[in-house]
Amino acid sequence: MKIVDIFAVIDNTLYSVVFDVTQERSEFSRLFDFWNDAEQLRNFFEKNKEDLNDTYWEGITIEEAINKTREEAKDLERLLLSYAKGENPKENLSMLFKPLSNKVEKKYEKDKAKVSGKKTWLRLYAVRIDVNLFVVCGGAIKLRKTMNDRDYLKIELEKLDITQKYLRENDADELDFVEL
Amino acid sequence: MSINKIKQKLEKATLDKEWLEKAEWRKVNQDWLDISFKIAVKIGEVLAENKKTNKFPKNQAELAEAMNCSPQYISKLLKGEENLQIETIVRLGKILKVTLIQVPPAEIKRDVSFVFSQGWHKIIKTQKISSQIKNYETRRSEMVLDFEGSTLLSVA
Repeated sequence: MKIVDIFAVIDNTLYSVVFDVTQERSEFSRLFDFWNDAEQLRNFFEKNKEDLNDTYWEGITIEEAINKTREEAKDLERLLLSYAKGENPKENLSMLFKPLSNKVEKKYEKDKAKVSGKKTWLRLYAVRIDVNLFVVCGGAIKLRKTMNDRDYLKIELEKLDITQKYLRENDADELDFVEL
Repeated sequence: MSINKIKQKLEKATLDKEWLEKAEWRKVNQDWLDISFKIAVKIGEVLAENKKTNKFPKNQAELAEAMNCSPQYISKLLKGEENLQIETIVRLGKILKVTLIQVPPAEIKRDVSFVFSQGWHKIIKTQKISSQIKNYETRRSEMVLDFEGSTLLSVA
């Protein structure tokens, strides 16, 4: 898997990579279509029924899980759309994205965006370039606490690394960068 | 310096119009999309159940056959973004033996008088008293009526 392009979602703020395996569609666009597709969501939850049955999710059914995902996606999309249209001039995406873990990676941080307040499972993964500048490289319905014991989450870690490398590989001053 | 180089590169990026247009479309059409999505989820549930018990129709192909339409249309419908006709919804419901939508009973507009054993009463003139009254509680000095705004159509 490799990056073939980068699209702007919100100019000067939010970007999204395009992988060669997604037929020229940005990860950002692909994810919101997935989270709004009842059939694809059913396939996902049937495949990952075991994770859904975890006591943490309090016996949620597949149908409830599908509806919950779309509701979360709706909230997240509306929020990002309002940023894209400049309806939140006093706020910025830095308030939305949180560090993925305690591990701080110097200039680039792996970030996730989630709708706060509730028990949420939707995640957007991004690489932070600057204070209010992010490159989205994937996302998931995160049914597990960790990201390294399921293929559908491991691939997101891989995409974060690919994106990070892509940005660095195109930068001749990589070492200077690390020193900042 | 390096950040600036990346920024310069990002500034040349093409705008992802696909997401912007789709997000706007989903926002503008949210009300009927909510219903379409829930219907799709319900149909998916019945098909899955039929598959377990080996009942017809148990998959998209069989549902398309029963509906006399293309499997492509059923696939589109099951995504939950199809603006369905009432006729289509009713046909689907009959084939799947499930109620997909229902309309609440008609509202009654009239004055209602409540008389209590304590020997007092209060007349409440209401614009809309319907079966949607969810909760009422009485106290000696007051009566509280809570009722939600009318819903014309709901997904079963």
